[in-house]
Amino acid sequence: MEKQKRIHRSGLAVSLLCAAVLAACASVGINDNLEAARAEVNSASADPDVVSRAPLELKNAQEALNRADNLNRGRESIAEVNHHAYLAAVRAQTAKDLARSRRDTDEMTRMQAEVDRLRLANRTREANIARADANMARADASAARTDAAIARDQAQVAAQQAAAASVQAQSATQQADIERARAAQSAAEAAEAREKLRVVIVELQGKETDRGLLVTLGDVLFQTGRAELLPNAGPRMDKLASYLNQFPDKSLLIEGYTDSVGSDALNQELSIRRAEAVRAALAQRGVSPTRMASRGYGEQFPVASNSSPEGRAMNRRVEVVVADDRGNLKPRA
Amino acid sequence: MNRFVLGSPMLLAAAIFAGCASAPPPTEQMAVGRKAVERAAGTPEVVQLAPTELERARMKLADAERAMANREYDQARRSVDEAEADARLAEARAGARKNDRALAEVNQAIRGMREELARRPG
Repeated sequence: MEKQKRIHRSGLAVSLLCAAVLAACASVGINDNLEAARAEVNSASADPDVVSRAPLELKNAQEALNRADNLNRGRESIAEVNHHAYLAAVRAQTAKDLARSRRDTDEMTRMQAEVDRLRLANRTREANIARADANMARADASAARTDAAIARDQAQVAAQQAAAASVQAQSATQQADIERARAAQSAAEAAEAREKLRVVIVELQGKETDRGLLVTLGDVLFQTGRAELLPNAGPRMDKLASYLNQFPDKSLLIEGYTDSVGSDALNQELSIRRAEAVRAALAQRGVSPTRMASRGYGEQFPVASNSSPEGRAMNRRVEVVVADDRGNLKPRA
Repeated sequence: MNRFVLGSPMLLAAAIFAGCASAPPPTEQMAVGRKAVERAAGTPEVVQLAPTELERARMKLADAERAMANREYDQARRSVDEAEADARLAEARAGARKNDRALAEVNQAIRGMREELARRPG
């Protein structure tokens, strides 16, 4: 019985010890560490980034929190509750950091595409600038080539113009030569004409008047009152015809005149017949009748006084007027 | 019967002691915890970017070693588990800070390139 009591006492002591241990182990009421850990885990769970990027770590945190809660509910050792609460909080923070780290990585991957795009854009821009420079250089070169081509064309044109000018000069020289030759010929012809004229003036006693070259055939060729040429007129007419035949193109005007003796009507008719006689004589000697015209002016236009025999003799005459160089032949007004 | 009645408080006490007090030494957990702290401490970016967290892990590991030496195995298990969790947090935090900086640099580079593009459009 004594032994049983002792044992009983000892059992009581063990029970008391156990109660003490239990009191030491068990938690009472709200644990601040546990609530802080819960807040940490809840905030991690509410973050979609953490849920999607660090699910394993988040699950570990939640499990630690559950464990701490269970231990707390079971009034287990506060050290164990605190321990698991601590693990829950640290793992929740770890989950958040991992999520942030992984989000950064994803973000950088995404950014890398932008970096590549920008790098390409920059390189393209540089290439464009280089290409623009090259284009400009090419344009410059092209412009220079064009200038050179224009200069070459201009030189060619100038050379052609020079050649043309040379040909023209040559042609002008030839023309001048021709003109000179013509002038020389004309001069020679003029000299010849002058010589012939001299012959007429000297040998036929012609004279130059404003009406043309005038050759006067005196009354010695005709008997008074008659219109037939005297035989001694022959040589004189030969010489005149020969002279006139040298200028076959020149028109001739043959004019008859009388002195004042006798009636005007008679004198007029006589002057016509004398002019006609000379015309016929010249025609007989080869002077074309078509170039000859005859007129009679009677006693008009005396060349001397009718009061003396010598004067009247001078007034009885036939004048042959040769057209001038321009072909003009002016009858008396 | 009497034996049973007598023994039951003893057994209960033993069970309670087993639940609360030191269990077998947490050899395996110690190994895992040591390795985790060692790895974090051997990573330059953790040393550089999460020194506070790393220091806490080291202190927890030291606590655990001390508890082991004192045969306080429960205490050792808790400390080494917390040391491991701290070491992992140190690594995660260092990684996050490193990536934050890298991201900021990329952003700055992009800003620079955009400005370059805007200054002289090709």
